[in-house]
Amino acid sequence: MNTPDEDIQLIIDGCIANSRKAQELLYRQFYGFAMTVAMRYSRDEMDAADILSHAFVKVFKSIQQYDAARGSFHAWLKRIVVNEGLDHIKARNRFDSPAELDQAEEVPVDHTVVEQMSAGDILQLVQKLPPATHAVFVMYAVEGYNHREIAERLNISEGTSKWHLSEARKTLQQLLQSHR
Amino acid sequence: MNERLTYESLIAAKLEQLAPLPALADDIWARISADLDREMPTDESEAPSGGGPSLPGTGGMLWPGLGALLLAVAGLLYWYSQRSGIPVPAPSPQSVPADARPASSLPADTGSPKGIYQQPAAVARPVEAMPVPLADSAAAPSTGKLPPPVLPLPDDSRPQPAASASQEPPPGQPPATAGDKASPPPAIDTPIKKKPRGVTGISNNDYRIVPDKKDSARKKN
Repeated sequence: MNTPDEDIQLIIDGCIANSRKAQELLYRQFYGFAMTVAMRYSRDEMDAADILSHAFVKVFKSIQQYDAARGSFHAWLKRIVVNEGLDHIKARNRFDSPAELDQAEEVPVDHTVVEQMSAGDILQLVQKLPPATHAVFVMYAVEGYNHREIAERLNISEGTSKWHLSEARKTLQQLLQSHR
Repeated sequence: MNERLTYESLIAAKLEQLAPLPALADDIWARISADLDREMPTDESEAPSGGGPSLPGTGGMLWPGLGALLLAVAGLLYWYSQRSGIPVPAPSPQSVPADARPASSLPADTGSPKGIYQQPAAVARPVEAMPVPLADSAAAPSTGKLPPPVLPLPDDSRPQPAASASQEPPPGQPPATAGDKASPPPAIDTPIKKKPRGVTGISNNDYRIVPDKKDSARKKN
C-alpha cells in the first residue's frame, strides 16, 4: 500500500504525462488548501476562482519542474497560488505610497474582538482594505514574509511595504472597533 | 521592529480555517479543463469523450474504410462504363458505312412503344472491345479503330447527333441512318467469323466413316 506521498507522486507523474484524469485528481485533492490561500488575496469569490484557475493551469504547465527533494508539493503549490494572487492584484492596482516609513506603526487592537469573529467575518474585514494594502498585510501578517521579501516580491521599497502595513493596521483598528 | 502583533496572529489563524467554497470546485475545474484543452491538448481530449460526434468502434478504421469504399465505387463505375458505354459522340455517317456496323447496332424492336425504349447494353459497348470484323476494310478509319456505333433513336425526344441528321452524305457513301427514325438501319448480314477449332486442314467430312461397299453388295459366304 502506498503512502500519501507516494500516491501524490503517482498523481504528479500522471500530470507530467498530461493525463487529464490525473490533473483533475490532483486539483480535487488540493482544491481546499489552494482555495483557502487564493481567498486571502481576492476581493470576492469570483476573484478567488480566477486566481485558482490560473494558478492550477500554471501548476500543470510547469509540474515537471517540481522536485520533491526540494520541498513538499503543498509548499510548491502555495507559492504558485500566492504569486498568481499577487499578479492578480498588481495587474489592477498600484503599490505606490505617498510616503516611505522606516518602521510600520503598531496600532493597538482589542484582540478579544478578533477571537470572537468567525473566519468569514475576518476575511470580509481584510477584503475591505485597499488592494495593495491588503496584499502587503496578508503577506506580512498571514504568510509571514518580512518587509524585504515583500519588497522583492512586489517590486517596491521596504519603506513602501511598511507604509502599507501601517495603513492596514490603522484601517483594521477602525473596522474592528466598529464591529463591536 | 516589525513583528506580528497578537491580533495579527489571530487573524492568520482564523484565515487558515476558511471554508474552501466547495460549490465552486466544479466550475473552476471546468475552466481549468477548458484552458488545458486549449493550451495542452491531449489525446484524451481530442477524442470525443462525451456527446461528441463519435463513431463507436470505428476509431482508426474510418478513413481506410472510406478509401476502400471510394475505390470500390470507382471500380464499379469503370466496369459499368466499360460494359454499358460512356456517352460516345456519334460519328459522322461518312466514316461508318451502314454495312460495317456491328450486329449489336441492330435497331430495337419497332413494336415496342415509344418512351419505353431502352438501349441495349451491348449496343453502347466501346467499339474497341467488340470483336466485329469489318466487311469493308477500306471504310475503317485511318486510326485503326472502329468508330462507335450509331444507334437509331425511335424516340423524338432523344438528342440528335449534330452531324448526322442534317447533312447529306457525300457521293459514293451510303445514306446516313443514324438519325433516320422511319427506317432502322439494315441488319448486318456479314456472319461473324468463328474462331477455327481443331486441327487445320481437317473438315467434318474427314470424320465421316463411309464403308467402301454396302453390306448388301458384299458376297455372302
